[in-house]
Amino acid sequence: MRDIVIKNHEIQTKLPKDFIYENQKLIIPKNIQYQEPIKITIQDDNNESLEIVVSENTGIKIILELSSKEVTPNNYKLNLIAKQNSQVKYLLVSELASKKALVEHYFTAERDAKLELIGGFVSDVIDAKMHVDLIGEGAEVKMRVVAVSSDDNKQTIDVLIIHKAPNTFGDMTNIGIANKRGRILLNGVEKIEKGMKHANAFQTLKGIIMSDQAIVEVNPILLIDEFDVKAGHGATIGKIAEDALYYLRSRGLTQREAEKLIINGFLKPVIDEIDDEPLKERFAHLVNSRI
Amino acid sequence: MAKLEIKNLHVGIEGKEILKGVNLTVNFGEVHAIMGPNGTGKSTLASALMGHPKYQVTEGEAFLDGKNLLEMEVDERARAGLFLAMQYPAEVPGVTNSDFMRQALKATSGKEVGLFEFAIKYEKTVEELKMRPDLAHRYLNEGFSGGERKRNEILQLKVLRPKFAILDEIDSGLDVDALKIVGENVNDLVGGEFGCILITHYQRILDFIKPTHVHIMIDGKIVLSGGKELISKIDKNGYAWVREELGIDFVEGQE
Repeated sequence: MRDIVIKNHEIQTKLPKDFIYENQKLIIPKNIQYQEPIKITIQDDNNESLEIVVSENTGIKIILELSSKEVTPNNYKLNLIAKQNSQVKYLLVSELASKKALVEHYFTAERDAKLELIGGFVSDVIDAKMHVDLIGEGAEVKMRVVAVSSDDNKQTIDVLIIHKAPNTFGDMTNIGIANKRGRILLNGVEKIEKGMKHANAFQTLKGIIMSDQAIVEVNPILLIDEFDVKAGHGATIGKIAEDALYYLRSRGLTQREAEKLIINGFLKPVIDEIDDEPLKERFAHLVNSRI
Repeated sequence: MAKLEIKNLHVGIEGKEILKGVNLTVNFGEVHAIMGPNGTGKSTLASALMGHPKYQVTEGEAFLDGKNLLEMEVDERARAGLFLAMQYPAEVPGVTNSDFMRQALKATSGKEVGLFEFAIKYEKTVEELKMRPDLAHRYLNEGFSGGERKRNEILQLKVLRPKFAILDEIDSGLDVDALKIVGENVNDLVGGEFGCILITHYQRILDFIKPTHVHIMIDGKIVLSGGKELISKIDKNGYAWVREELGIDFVEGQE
């Protein structure tokens, strides 16, 4: 694992070989298969923008950590460009204490680029946009987003995938978990533009309500302007399945222990992707303190 | 010696009375088979004792070691030493068998369970039940075949070692080989500090697990209790003779 820390628009750590950072833009060199993930931390910086470019034919896993204890308004503008035939596994972990955070994240996938995106939002009040443009033929994106809201916090998560080329593939699985008086609005939109034949668009949205006052709203939307495509979507909202709770409790787990185990089960696919042990522990701890 | 006592238990579901006064006492070392046609309340008895929220106890009492079961939450009953091997155990995605079992063992034993010590014990039990070696890392019952689920219930029983277990139709849907494995593994527990209620409407599981007591339940009541001789009688004649001998009128219904 290589660490890159950015604070006040400046790199605080040594860059890996051949990486370039200038004008808030990080360029990762081409034709390299990185075996180890890199972690980029944007630290206590309330107004940051960053563009990451993964160059042609490169394979890499990036963990981006947004971390701030400041309660003042936060505003992040992030951009990831996956060049031709690159493969990017990308994990965004956002734990912001802000009472008004805005995270706008744009992704662009060029020809044959493969993006696997995971977003974990355990912030307080946040408005997050995850916007993917599939601009090259054969581009793929798999997106998983998890938002956990508790207390009085409201989180709005907009996930948008636009198919701007034929033979593109987009799949999103978004989960919102709300406890106490937490609120989550989860919008999943996938758009296939006219002429983009053989595009595939799939959506699964899931809302889990853990208290009587929690609110989760999910909106799965497919906008398709082409006939020759495959698409499907589904959405569910509910409490934790009673039969699963009863089952776990019948083996001696208390109601709370059973709920926690089940929620952690939902989050496991996200948590397992965090290679950085301290971050993984912190993320899991934060999630568990909210449920 | 510990015992499970059920006295005049009446249980309803959505206002409809299913159990109409069940009396039963199970001591350590005993295996009680409860047999009967479909829809007579056998599984209701199992679920009501475990505390399934769908069932309402309207009358009667149940004690485990002298402690009032009916006043306890589901998980408290489990920690008091009761175990229900379910007919249709739930799937829990994302929760691995080993994480779940380790936490359950900690809850029921009241002791910290070391990871290494647990892993050894679990793997051994997986072998005993002839289950896939990767079971520990698979999600709880997710994608399991019917037979795997049943075996997983017995595996949990062996790991948790409760004082009393109710096995609710653990034999239905099992092929002969699986039936033998399940039967032998339950037998391993019998005789020690353990008592068991075995609910079934087939007699084949009773070739492997020898009951000390046999009860016939019809229309929400135990109408006849005896020993193994009742099994062969049911085996030969079904339940029609009960109707004639005891003068009870009943219809077979759906569970």
